[in-house]
Amino acid sequence: MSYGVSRPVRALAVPAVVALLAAGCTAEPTSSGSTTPKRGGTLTIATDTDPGCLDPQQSPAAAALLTGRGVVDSLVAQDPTGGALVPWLAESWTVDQRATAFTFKLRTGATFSDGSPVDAAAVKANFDRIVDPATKSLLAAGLLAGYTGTTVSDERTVVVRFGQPNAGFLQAASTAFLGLQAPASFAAGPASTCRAVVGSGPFTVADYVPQQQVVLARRAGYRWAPKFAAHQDDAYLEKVVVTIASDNGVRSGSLRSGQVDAAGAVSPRDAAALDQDGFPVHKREQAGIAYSLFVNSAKEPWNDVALRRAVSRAIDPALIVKTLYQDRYAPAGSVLTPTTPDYVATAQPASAAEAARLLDAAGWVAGPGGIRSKNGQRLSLRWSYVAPAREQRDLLAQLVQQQLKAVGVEVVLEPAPVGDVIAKQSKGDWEMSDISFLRADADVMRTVLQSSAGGRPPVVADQALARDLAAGAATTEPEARRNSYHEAQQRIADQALAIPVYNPTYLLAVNKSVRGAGFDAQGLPQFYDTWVDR
Amino acid sequence: MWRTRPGDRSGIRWRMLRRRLLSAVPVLLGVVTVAFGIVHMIPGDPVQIMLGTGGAFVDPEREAVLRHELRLDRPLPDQYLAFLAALLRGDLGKSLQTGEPVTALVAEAAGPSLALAGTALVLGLLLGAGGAVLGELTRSRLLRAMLSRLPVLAMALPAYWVATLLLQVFSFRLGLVPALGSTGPGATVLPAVTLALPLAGVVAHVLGSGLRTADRESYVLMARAKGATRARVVLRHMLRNTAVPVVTLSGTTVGSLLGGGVVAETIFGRPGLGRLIVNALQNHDYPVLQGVAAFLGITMVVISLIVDVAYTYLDPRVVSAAVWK
Amino acid sequence: MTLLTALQRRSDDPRRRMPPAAVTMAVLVLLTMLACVLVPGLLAPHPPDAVVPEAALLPPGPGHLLGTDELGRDLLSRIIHGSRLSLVVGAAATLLALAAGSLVGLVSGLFGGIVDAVLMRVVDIMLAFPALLLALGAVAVLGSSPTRLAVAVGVSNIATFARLVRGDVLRVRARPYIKAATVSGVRPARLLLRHVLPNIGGPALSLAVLGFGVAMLESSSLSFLGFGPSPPAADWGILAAAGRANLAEAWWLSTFPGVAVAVTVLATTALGRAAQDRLAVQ
Repeated sequence: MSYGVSRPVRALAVPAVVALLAAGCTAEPTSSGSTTPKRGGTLTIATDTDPGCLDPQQSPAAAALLTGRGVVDSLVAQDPTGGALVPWLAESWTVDQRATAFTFKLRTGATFSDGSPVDAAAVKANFDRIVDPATKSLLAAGLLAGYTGTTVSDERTVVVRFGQPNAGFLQAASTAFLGLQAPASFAAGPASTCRAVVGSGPFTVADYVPQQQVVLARRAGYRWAPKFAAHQDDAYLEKVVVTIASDNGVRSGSLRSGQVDAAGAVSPRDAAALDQDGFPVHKREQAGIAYSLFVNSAKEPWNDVALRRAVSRAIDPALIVKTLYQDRYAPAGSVLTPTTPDYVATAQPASAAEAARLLDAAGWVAGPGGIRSKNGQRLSLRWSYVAPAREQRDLLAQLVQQQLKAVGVEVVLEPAPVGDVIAKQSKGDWEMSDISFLRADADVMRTVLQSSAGGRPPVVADQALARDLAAGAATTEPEARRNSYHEAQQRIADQALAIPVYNPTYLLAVNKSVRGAGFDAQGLPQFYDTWVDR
Repeated sequence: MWRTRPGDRSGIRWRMLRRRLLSAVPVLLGVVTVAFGIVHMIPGDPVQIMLGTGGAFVDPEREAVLRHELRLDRPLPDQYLAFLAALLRGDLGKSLQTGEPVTALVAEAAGPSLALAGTALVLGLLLGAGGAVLGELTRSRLLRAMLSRLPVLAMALPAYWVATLLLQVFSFRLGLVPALGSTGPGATVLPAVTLALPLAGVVAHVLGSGLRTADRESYVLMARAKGATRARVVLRHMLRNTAVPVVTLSGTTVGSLLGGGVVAETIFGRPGLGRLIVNALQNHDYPVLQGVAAFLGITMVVISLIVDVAYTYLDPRVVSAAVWK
Repeated sequence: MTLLTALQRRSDDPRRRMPPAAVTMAVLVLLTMLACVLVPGLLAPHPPDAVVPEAALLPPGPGHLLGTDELGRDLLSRIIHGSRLSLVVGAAATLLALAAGSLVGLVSGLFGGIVDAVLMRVVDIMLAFPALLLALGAVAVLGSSPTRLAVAVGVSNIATFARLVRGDVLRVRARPYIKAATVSGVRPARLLLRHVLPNIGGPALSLAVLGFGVAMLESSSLSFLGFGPSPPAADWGILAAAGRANLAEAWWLSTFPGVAVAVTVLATTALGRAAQDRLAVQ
């Protein structure tokens, strides 16, 4: 999968509620040649992961968003530049004081690709379906936490209600996870929408061969693109072929040899080389939880904050990004990335000397092999991470292992298939772990790090932090939210509950004939405004 | 010499086949039991893993519902019997990940896998047999020496190494074949070569040593004495007599080509049974694992049946041996 | 399975023997490998885990004979240190497969009848799964420490060894003097010790040497697929897999570890065949 977690939850890998704010978005490289978009043609893009199931209402995979975004539209749209929520299928909306009732007024004229209208009944059918256990929604249902039902007021008006405040719902509604699909397509059961999603978007699913490719075909008569789009009406591309190639080398090699027009999620090293050889590289820093390491504060001896602080100071993110990512990813400044609303920088510079001082003070002294111990206990951390790893996180783990060894802390690395890692995490059986997660809302700290739902212990457990995060979720007042979330980030840094390492960044390399390439609000390549000049 | 009358032979063949079919029944049962057993011995709870992939939003109620729906709340023997009963109906259950019927997933992955295995098999046999025959016919000592060493080299090269090298050279450097997907015959070439190389080595090695042994058999001398050319002797007489072990090997190889193509599938990004298994393994998708394992096992049992029958046609001695038993 | 069965076949043509030069080469290669396993620290030019960011991805050259990886670690040193994992896992797996397989093959071949039928059906069941996938399943059940990897690979090859050993036993049993001994009422245990074991010991050992190569290929494939031991320890399969990430810029990373596997397999195969030659002469 592309971005998100690699830890307890692979799918976090996937932007829960994703979106991206403008800040991290670099300007699109300008290329010479025709500037008037041409219609027609096929764009072939190589991406790293097979979605498994195309239906974003069911699948949590970023890969399902990549293909799904062109196929389903949402009630609201998030502007990739600026992050504002603007009308899409809903032309207007209101929220009650407690953030429990959301009233949407739908636009007229929008239809699903099967011809049925996008009306109030369709909205209700979609949300009711997402929370239906039979749908086995793996992520979308979580975005509707506390959902009590949708009322159809008239053909164009619906009220979505929650039993508890859900201030993040509006932004969640802008993602493809809560995108609207044709109710008629639900009849054949969840498995059938995994193969062919029917939405109101500019593209339709023409073909899906698992582990191989997804083919999107342009839909005629599309007239309801969000205002921020570079054009209105039909998409420029006639066809988009999304080919799946899990190897970095294969993706960039295929781009070079002309087998594909674009390569997604290229490695920083490949990006540098491609850039040099005349393949424009588009870059997008993503919002949400930065790629961070966690030490389980519920386990002896790591409940001692001094030890966690020592580990945190011993790890040097600047050296890591320089070595592994040639500074194309930025070192993290907080548990949230700078492109997330309410971000505040909290990082302290790395210092092995300070780490050693903290450990000495706590009574852990170096023993044989340089590993510290106290009362016969070795200072050791077990770290089970997902393999095969993306973004060279396997090498990152080895660097961290070395940096900690230098101050006398042993790290035992246990790469494992994603299923095994999740199984262990979900039982609370972990000492060290790693996560990144896309969502352009600071509430992500509560839903991802703090949640103890499903019997799973939280990734970070701290009373003061819990109060801050609950306060942030219960208000729509911007000032109050900012204060709560700044406090939360400071608390996480002060208690060394998370050790932020780098800001995940999407690198999209294209050949020179690809124009208008860019990212949607979720930080994934969009196809609607893209065209090919040939 | 050991000729029996044709009528006799077909009767014996039929009796042999029946005995062989009967002995395949316990093997089939064993194969599906092993498939079920291994899958359920893998540590980790599939429901927790499924819900885990959904992020931290899942409630226990949902977990219970899911567990019940997947019948994972029932005792293991119950699940086993249900699995067997469903299998008899040709139903392999539904994928935990996508909810699609496993039979559909297997059928879908079997297509590219069969195409790849078939191409590799043909390629391997041609290369291997060609090499062995050429080695037997050539007068050049150098060529002969090379051809007798190459098979072992082909067998010793790790598949992942060959695949990586082929990809580098033919796809990225020379741009002759696409590196991606399985669209079109071009994309099958490199993975097929990867799989065919060790197979060619095996075939050349077995056939070569068989040919060299046959070289001193009486019928070869007789044919030569009657004035047949060397090429004719090798192609007409010796090849047929040394074909039996090659048929056996081809049979057993199909299984490793079908499932063992996982390395080539991973590197070349092809869909197939091997990748289906690895993916299911990583996500603890029990039904898919069970299904693919059972499918592969059953396929192998059927193939070895076919191979046994093929013997009786290739080598009359097999039937006569059965008579004298 | 196919590989081992094939390698085990040989012609009795004396002209086809392994030339002495090849055998010498093989022995030299294996002695070098053994030295790598025993004293990697003495042979490796650099520490295997020393991260030197400035020396990342250097091509093969005077300072680093086989180049460096993304973290600037010396590839030659990593291959030398990786030999321990690769070779020991291969050897342990072969021993396990040989021991268990021989036992099954002996019992099956000696007792015959219902015992043989049952054991051979079990063998059929195991052979119905491709060895690589069987090992993959075993690793999933057992976990991926080096010991467990060896067990998984070993288990997946038991059936092949059992088949081949049983074949040897049957061949020995068919000899007239053994038949005579059986008829004259020699007990099976005695028969086994006095007549059968001495006769199949040689073939079984040469089989084991050949099997070692097969086990190496299989275990390194598992490592390559991500089911191997944990970093920073890295066997050759893991090294080759890691090299895929930068295939386009650094061909050496995945090439040399694969060469190491191939050379070892070739050397053991040559040795195994030489052993077969000697047996044939006797």
